[in-house]
Amino acid sequence: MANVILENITKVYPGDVKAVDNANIEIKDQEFVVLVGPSGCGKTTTLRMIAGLEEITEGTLTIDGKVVNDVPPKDRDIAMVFQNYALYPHMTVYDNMAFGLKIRKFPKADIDARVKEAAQILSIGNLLDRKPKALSGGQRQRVAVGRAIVRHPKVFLFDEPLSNLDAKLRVQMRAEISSLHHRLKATMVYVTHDQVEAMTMADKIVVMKDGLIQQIGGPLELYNSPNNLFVAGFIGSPPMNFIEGRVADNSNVFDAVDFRLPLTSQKASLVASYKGSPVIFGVRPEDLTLDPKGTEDNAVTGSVLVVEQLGEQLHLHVEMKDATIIAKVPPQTKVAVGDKVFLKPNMEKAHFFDKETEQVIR
Amino acid sequence: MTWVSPGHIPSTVEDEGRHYIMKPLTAKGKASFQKHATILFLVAPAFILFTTFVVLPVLQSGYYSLFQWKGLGPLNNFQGVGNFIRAFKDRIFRIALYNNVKIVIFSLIIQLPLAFSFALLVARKKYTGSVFFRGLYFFPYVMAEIVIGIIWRFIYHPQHGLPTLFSQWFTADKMEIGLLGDTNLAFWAIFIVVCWKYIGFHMILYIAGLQGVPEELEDAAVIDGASKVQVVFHIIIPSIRNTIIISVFLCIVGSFNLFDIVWAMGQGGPVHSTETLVTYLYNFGFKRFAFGYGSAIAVIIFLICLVFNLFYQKYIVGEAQK
Repeated sequence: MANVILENITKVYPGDVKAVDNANIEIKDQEFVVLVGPSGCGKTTTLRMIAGLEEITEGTLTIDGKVVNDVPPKDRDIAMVFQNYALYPHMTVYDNMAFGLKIRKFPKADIDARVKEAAQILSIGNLLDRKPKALSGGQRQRVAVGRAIVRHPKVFLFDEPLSNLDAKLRVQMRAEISSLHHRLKATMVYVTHDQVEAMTMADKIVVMKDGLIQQIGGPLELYNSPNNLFVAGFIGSPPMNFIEGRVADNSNVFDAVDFRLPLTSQKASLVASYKGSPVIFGVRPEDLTLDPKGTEDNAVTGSVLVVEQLGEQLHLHVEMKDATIIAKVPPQTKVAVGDKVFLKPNMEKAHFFDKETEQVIR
Repeated sequence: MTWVSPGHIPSTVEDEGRHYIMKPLTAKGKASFQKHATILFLVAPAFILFTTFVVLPVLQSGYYSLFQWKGLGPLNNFQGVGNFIRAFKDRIFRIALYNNVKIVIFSLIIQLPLAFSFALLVARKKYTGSVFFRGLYFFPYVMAEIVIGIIWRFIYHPQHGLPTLFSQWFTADKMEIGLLGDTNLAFWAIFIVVCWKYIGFHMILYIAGLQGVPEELEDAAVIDGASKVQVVFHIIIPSIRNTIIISVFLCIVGSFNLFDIVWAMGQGGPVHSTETLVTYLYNFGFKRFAFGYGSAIAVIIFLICLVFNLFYQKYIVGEAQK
């Protein structure tokens, strides 16, 4: 068993800077958990507290049932892969991977077997005699992963390991890390600012902002049922569209500046207490459909600003008075810049958010 | 035959009946000539200065070292290697050489490790006061050596100095301690000052080296299981190897050229116990108007440094670059 439990974890730096505020996360054995959020949200600090590289100001960290707040990193049975690889420049690939085992006085034969096993898994057997400066970015990343694998740790920690790679290599390495997770059946905690990585790799995602956890859940749960405006806008590419408006006083209609949308009975009951109040309407690009018969009284209305042809779909950037939204439509759609369009939203999948608290209205 | 400027390209083979002593330059050749001329023009001032103030004086010293000469009049008393033989036969010269070797060895054992330790403590700004202490440790280096020597003469004063003060505070017999007057202790008293002066300089070198070592490397080593000491020996020291090589080189060469502090604190005394090669050169060369002999000592110092430099470049620097 290698579960990791963070209970009320807080990190405060000198000057009362709260980097992580009361984080509660449960990472189950063999789970792949991704901490995702913008720069400065506290995700790396959280990871470093799990690793033991940062002191925990308040709260309890448990690994495999044992409280490890005061346990040094080397005794936590964790391995870490860093953003800039952190390979020892004066050592060969073999020595880089063997270093941790040599320090722990493993027998030479064991070290050799483990290094070669890891090298074979990562297809870097032919690089063992090279030094890091003679490796490409992708090769260095594999060596960094290999250095973690040889330790057979309980928990793997990844700190934005793909952020220094080019887009194509990132896609490839994402798949390799996912495959590694299944092969090793290990608990992995992965930090990234890229929501695509989070969505494609995670069993569970922890979305963070300004040191606070916004939501924890599976990829689909976060995608379909975001708790607040931040999660809704952060997860998904292109991001969710937000349109400010108000719920009409005396009818079940969402009233935006340029158009009005009739509400389904389900949505009407959700926002019943917001009649006359401002709310934010959120709808994903793929939940908007072009309606040639639409009007300002029943569809999102605007004029086409940009048409992006992606091959499998068309992205329409539609400009309204107060906002610009994106709609995904079939690639053969005949539409040009400047056209006035009417987009029917799928109200079942749309969301309303409280304008003040930014929480989803449920 | 008429000389023609290299840039002149004739329109016909027989241009005004001139015979060319070299092929007329093509555009490519002209560009190459201009490039080399520019390089020569830019390097020339430094080359001239270096030759005038370094190379020529060294060669001149070498020439004078072959003569017995008081510094005035013609050089007509040729000694050959006589001055050199005399030096190595002189007991005081051997003491001076031995003192220099001692300074080298103990600087490498004490001064550089201390400088490295201080650098480790103050290199990362996260420690409170690290910036202040960096300035504090470096401060002695910016002071003139003569000034330092004079200040420490007062610190070591037999009646009013710090050792005597400590003796009066903490010992029963309250003895006066005159370190600079004791033939057994004067060398160490001066060595302490040399360390005090140069630790800051080497510390700054190491800080510069350490700032090129990403903190992630240390984090990775800690996670791999290395203790703080193991991180230093397995990761940090190998990572700043080039800085250490420079520091060691400067320490050794500097030790052989030590003069100002030693001169200010005792002029090589008492009884030559703190004599160094340069103070010996000054005492037995220039002060006694034995410029030929003094030049021989200078040549010996130069050759020691040159041989060391060649050995160091080939076997230490060369190996490090592989």
